Amino acid sequence: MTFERNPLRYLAFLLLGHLSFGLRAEPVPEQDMKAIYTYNFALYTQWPESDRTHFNICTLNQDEVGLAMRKLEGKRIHGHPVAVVRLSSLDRISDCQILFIGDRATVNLPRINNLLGSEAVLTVSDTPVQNSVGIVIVPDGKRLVFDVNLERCRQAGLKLSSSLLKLARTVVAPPN
Amino acid sequence: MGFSRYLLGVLALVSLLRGIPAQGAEPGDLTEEPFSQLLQREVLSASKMARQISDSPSAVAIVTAEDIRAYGYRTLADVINGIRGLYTTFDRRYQYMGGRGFGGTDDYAGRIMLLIDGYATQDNLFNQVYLDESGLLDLELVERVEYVPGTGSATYGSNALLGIINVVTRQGRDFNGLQLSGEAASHGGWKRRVTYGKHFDNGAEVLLSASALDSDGQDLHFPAYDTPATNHGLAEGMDRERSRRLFGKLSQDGWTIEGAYADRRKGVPTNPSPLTAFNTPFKIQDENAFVSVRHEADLSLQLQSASSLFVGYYAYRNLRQYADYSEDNEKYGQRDFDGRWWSFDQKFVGTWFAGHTLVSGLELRRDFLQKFRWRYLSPTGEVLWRHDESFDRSTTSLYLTDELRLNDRWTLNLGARWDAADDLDANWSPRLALIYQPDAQTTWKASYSEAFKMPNAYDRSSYIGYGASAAPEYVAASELTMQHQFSAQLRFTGSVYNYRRSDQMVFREALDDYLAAGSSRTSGIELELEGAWNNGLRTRGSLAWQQARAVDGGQLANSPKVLGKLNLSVPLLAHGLRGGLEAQYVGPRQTLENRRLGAYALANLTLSSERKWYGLSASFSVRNLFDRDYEAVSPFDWRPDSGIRQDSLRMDGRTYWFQLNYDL
Repeated sequence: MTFERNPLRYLAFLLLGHLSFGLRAEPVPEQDMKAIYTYNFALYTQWPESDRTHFNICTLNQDEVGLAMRKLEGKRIHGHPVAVVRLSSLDRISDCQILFIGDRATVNLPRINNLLGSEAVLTVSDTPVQNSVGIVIVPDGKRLVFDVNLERCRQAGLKLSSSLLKLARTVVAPPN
Repeated sequence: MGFSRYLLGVLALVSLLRGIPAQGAEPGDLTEEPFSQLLQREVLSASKMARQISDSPSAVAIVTAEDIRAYGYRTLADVINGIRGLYTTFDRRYQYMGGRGFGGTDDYAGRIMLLIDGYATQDNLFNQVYLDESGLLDLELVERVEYVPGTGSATYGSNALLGIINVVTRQGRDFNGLQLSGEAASHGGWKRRVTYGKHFDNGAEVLLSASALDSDGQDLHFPAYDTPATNHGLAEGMDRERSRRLFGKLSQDGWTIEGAYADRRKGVPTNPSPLTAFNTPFKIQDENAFVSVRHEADLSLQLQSASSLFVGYYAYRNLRQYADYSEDNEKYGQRDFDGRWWSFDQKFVGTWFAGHTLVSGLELRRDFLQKFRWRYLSPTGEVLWRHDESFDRSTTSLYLTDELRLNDRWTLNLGARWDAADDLDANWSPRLALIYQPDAQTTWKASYSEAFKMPNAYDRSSYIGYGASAAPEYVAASELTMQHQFSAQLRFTGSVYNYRRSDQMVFREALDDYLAAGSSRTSGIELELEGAWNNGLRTRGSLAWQQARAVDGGQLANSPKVLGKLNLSVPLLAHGLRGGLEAQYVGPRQTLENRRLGAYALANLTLSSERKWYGLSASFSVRNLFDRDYEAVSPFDWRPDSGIRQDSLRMDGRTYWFQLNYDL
């Protein structure tokens, strides 16, 4: 069949193509998915009481995820409006509820953890640094999965809900 | 039949454009989806293509360290020749950049801006950017080069008429130790470099580098001088070049100290002046240097501050030999030009209001030394006549930009900068841009901006003796760009632009004087497709059409109507080696004698090791692979005694380059 002879056939073909396309869940751009995962980590985590007006999600040297996260502005987490902050230094990292640490900042992890101490900051990264942050997001085939380091989270005084831990690929528990 | 075919074409296109955005749902909706379901979703892996991080209101072209290696780029001029819509012209003294109606032979300096890590580095006499071996940086120290087309005066002030080249240097961690490098090139070229980089546990990071290049050059033949009196057109031993460079960067806790120094000496084998003698030494030396200190801090989550102090240094030295000194006994001419300046910039980025990113700042600049010295010497070296001129300028600038996110799809970018120099009227440079993102893959940007160029010290000097004095020049630019990510592997960029220049200096016969009354116009289209595939293949192809008019309404000289680029790099031998092939087409263009110079196409081939072998890595390049004979438009509109024109210069044939690096 040649389409040029029969435009109607081609139209029908296109229409069918689009319909079948709409039936399955569409893939999501990776950066957007990382932003949504981070949003969900926040929903399933309990922070100690604080008098902050905003829920601060900060990115450190991860501008691409930072840009994707701007779409979260206007949402509320635990009753507080989300503020997305792209940090350029370590000066204010303890003001964040979530700190998303990019590839180029991971060399500074010992300093970051030193500065944070027991501050209630959930550290997240998309580079494989399981031992040094609370949650890492890792690719697994065509999907993204996450690993939780409970020891880090407890040091920060954070309580992760059991439903979040169930969804994690692995959970590293503190040694007893 | 014709109509239905047309209809089908449109439908196919619409279906293509409709089908692909559908793959990316709005993440806003995804916040409603249960996490357990989200985990089952497939992701479109982030593209391996370099992405622009800034929300610049134009389509930024990016060349990464990977590209620099894959295509064997050795100077910024090589990088620029690979970028859509741009080209360089070499007159065997300097490489000059052109594009979008800039690049006429009287346009050589001061209309683009070269930023190194955010600092404007063009000198304060000619405002020239140094793209060849006189440039400040070895390309091995470069992380990425961004070309931001469109005017940049709303952010950076004077000079950013055509666009901005933004060079980001690498960090100490990228070297993580000591690297030694040796290079050999055609025409007796040889270069050495030593680089040390380290990131320390206390957060400090250091990068230090030094390099030296020496080249014998060629004995070039110039047909316009092919007479017995001028060595049959052969310039012997007149093309030597040497360059020395130093670079250092030290950072810790938000503080960065950075400095660079480059000293390039070159013989000029052409005869650049009607008064000088062919095949006699015409030597130039350009010294560029800067030292800067910057402090960046997050004052609060909503307020970031960046303060920087920059001190710049430039020196130009020239010795020339005159052809006829029987009347005044002045055999030699010597030029010593010196520039020194400092600038202080305080910038704040505020995000207090939801949806607004406010950037505001103050820049103070003092060009405290702009000195020109001319000396004319007798055959024995005695100074017979001297002439000095000195200028200075203080500039105060204020700028404010607001990036306003109206909703998920629309962003408005408003900016303006006010520059007040003590010898000129204050000037406003506004910019207005609207950014539309209908889906995660598509971005439309429409912008209107105005930019200006203050007359530089050399302009101010050049019009002494005329009634006119050098005046600022302006450009108003409008541009529409569209970027579409077809898949993680394929990206399209297209732009349509229009530049209207005004107040250009023109000579009026009737007045016997110059007048800032010239205006000209350029419009054009640029299209580019970039690909990065999982098997390591990277491709980039672009086509640019430009229609540039000169001040007199005729064709602008040295402005090709068509520019084409094709870059292809592919892993070979089980990813042990990478092959980089580059093809460049430059369409016909007019010379200063209004002659049409034929189009040419060049190919460059590079092989580079992808992996280190006992710390060793290597690159090998062949430029002008097919040994094409081609010519560049020259800045010479006068003819020597032979009466033969020299409005074009023959460029190099095939050349070779080999680099060996050793990491300790």
